[in-house]
Amino acid sequence: MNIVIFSRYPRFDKLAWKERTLRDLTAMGVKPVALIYGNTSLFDSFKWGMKTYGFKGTLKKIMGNNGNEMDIESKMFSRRISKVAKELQIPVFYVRDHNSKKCIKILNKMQPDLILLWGTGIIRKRILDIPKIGTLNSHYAILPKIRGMDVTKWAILMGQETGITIHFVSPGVDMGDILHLQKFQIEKGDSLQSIRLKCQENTSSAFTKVILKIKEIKHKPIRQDKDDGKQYFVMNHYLEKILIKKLENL
Amino acid sequence: MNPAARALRLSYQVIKDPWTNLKRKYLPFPELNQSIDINLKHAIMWLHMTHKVTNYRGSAAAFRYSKGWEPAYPETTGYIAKSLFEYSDFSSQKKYFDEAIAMCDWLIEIQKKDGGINEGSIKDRSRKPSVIFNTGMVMLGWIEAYKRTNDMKYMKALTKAGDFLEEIRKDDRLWLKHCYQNILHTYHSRVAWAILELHSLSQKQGYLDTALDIYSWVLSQQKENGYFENCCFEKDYRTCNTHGIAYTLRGLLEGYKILHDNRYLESVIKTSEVLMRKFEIKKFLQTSYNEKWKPIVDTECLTGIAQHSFIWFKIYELTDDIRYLNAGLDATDLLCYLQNINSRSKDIRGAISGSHPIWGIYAPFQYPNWATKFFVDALMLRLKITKDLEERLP
Repeated sequence: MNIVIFSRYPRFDKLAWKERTLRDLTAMGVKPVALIYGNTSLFDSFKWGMKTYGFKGTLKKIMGNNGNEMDIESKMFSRRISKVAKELQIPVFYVRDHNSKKCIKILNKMQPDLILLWGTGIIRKRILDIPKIGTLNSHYAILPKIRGMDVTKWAILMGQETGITIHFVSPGVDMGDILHLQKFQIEKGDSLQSIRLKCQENTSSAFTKVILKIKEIKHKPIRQDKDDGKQYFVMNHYLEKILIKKLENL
Repeated sequence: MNPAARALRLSYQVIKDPWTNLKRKYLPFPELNQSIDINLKHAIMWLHMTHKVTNYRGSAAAFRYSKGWEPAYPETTGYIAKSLFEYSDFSSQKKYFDEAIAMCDWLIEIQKKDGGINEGSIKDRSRKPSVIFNTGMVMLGWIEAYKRTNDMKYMKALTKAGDFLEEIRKDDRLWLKHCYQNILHTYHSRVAWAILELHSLSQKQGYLDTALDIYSWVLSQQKENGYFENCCFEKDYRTCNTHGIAYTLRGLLEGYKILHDNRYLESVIKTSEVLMRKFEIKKFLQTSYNEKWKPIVDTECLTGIAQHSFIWFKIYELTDDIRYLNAGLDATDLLCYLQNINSRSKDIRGAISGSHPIWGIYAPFQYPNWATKFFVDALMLRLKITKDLEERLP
């Protein structure tokens, strides 16, 4: 089975769960045939870093200080994933945009059965139509109820079940067929960061489970309806503070 | 501010606004340095200023960089009085109640013989006819004054205005002859709201019939995608601006609160869902849109954003949909960020500009009193909601 992975901002891409998943897939005999990075220019990375971490935070990330002083962060981050891929002899490609002609050319050459999205922008239909089986994404909440952004935070704030969903990607926002739900509990002492780590760890194991099922043609996609859920957006600072208080009072 | 100071200040604003937009685009949105109460106080102080500069005879329409203070504007004075009454309750400061009463009394003085309120500013009173919208907006102020004082002079003025609105419908059902620019406006839903409130006080059947008829026409103008036909201010415009849309929605929302007709709330949510999504994705809401919801210009109408944030908070209160609370918080954060609270000039300190950047298409190079009024309404509602939310926390 030919698997292609999409990721972006190679300079910042150091998440440990990605390294683990690459190694697990290789061990399972479904080594990805390519890792394609989008938004690869230094300007793109800097722009994204500034918007996400601010000026100082961006410099810190570029200098490679991932906050090893914190236990969670040291579990969350490893080395650059592009280096891990090269070590595992997975070809790494760099494109400006995953929807570009260059990317289509690479995909046509690779003939993928599956594309895995590991953090990308909106992927156009012309790309989604290329893989034979489909494109998979991990969503950090239980679909179909909570779609969109900051979904784990919204789930906790609204007292909903927490977990991750592996689903096929369709042109609507988080509207594709559901393949796998993996729930987990929020425990006393959990912080936003430790919950994010839980999501990442669950994503890693869920991806391998789902890919194995697809390989054995045992997967059963569940269709979701547009009205089954709502699209959420980036959580406001004020609500985030309420959420943190809620976690502290667990 | 003298002309030289205004020119200097404008030059500064022309540089500052694009710089602010660059920061918004490329940096995380900052947390506010001060509590929202401070923004609210500055906004109220500026509204007081608009009253003071007319010698307490109505609220000045705007502070313009070109000419300084504008003359008093009856239409907006009417609904600013309503906000001041509410702020007086909110802050327990009687002086704002007195200020609102002074505005309402002045509005009685300038009411036309036919019962209506003239188009434009007070300077236009003798040459401009009574218009529907301005009359309705002034009624909103008088209704609050009457509810709080039971003084019959307000009821008298209200009845005169209500009868004027009812009378002219006899041979002109949709008020076309007395509309601003002689075109139909869906934002007359706000006038229907005023008439409905008057019906609650007087129980006159004719007022209820008028309001229901207007509401039913407004609903008929909404397309499947939430867009309203006939929602523009000017002739030959085929686009809706966020200010006009918010006027329309607020009228419907208040109609829903009184009549409990779900069609009104569904209509508000249908349009709000589109605009809320647009705003939340980019934290930016363009001034006007065409019938396919494609933006026409790239500048923001801050008045519209303030009004929509109020509507989003209200939808949250009515439906418990937390996405609307989030959108309201984001929008009011943005307005607080753009509000000038550090200027040395009292003429602009605390005010919200018509557009951002200052040269934008809606009310350019000025601080209209209604932008700050809607900002005040949104902040008061935000503070009430967040207080309730914090009290519910364990």
